[in-house]
Amino acid sequence: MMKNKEQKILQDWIDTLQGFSVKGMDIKKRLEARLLRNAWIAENKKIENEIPDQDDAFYQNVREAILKRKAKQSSKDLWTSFFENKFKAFLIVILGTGFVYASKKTYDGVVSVADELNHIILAKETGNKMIVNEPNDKGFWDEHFDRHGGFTGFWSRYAPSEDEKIVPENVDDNLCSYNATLTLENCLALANQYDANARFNLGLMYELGVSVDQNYLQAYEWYKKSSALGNEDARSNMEYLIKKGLVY
Amino acid sequence: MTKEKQSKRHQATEIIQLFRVGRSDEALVLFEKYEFRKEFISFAIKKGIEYEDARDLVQKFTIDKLYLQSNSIKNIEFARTWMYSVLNNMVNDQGRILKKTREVPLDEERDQSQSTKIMSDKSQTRSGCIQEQLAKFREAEPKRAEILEFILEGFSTEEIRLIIGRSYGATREFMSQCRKKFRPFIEICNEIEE
Repeated sequence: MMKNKEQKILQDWIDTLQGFSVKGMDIKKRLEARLLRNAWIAENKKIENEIPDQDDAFYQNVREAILKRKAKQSSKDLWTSFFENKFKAFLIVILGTGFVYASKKTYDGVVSVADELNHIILAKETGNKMIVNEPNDKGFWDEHFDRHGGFTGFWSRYAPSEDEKIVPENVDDNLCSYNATLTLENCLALANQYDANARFNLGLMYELGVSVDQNYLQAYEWYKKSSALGNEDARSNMEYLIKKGLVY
Repeated sequence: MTKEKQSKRHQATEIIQLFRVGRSDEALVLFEKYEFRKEFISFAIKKGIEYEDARDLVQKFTIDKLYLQSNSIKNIEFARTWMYSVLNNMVNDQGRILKKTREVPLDEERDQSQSTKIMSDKSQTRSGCIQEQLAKFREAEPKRAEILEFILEGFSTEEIRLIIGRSYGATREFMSQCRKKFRPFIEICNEIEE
């Protein structure tokens, strides 16, 4: 009850301040509120009289600023309008984070896309050989789609094609440079001469089982030796073997 | 709400709608026609900002807020409330900046200058006395004076709640405190005869 009375007094005071006539209000309080309102109106008038009626410079500046902002904004319109739609923005964020999550996510024995891309499965060229750079005349279609027309992804260009595994005709092969012709003897001979690429190739032979029995531990050891000579790809393949759970 | 304030509310909505559809030139014409420039500058001046600063502030408000952010208003019916809410924040920020840069006189000097000013105004009319006490209240209780200002501007409790960003109950309590705190200030003027 007391609270209601207080609320009524407050509401009456507010109403009187806002210029409403209130019945049943204490005369003294009403007078005070009215005087306050009148004083406030007088003060407002006094201040507003000091403000010039016309201020062209004010609007001139505002218009110029708006024109500048419009010129700046027009280039951003497409981008901003796209993100103004909260649903679209949310969808992009979800898809983006999902993609990043999927590419980084690793399970036991399953490596991320990034790791898969960093895994080198092509033998490195060793010794002094004549190298002829052939122009890459593969088009967009050949790089990203298979012969059946299926999309193979933008990373497919990192994967070796069947052609790449074959020794080029115009190259003098030393039997430790191409996946197809790797031999243990030749690679061991070169590896003993501290050839980092030959050691890498030995690692690859053991990992893939080329000319030798597949042995991940041996592969790891040879990668390690190659990595000690500064071969970054060997280090990357070592990490791959660990992440994949092939060596412990 | 008085008819005058009701129309102000509609006018504000009209201006915001024009800004929203990109008809800024027409919006500015109405802004001047409905005397919003004067109203906002006057609002800033009452909060202790000099005319030149207040003018620049309202200009900035028109460009950065009315033109650029008019789309952010969720309920267009509360356009005037939104305007005051944003302007109030800008004025408070400006006030803080000025307070930092302003040279503060020694306490003793300030007290003397204030008391002589109050005495001189008090000796005039009751209306003058109330005006003076209102100014004094603004200095002593800036937050409560802000609420008083919004009440006098004709805003409802709900609108004031939106402006100051508090709950309905807290706003109501704030208003009640404002009334109680202002009483001693106005009672001084009761002794003066009109």
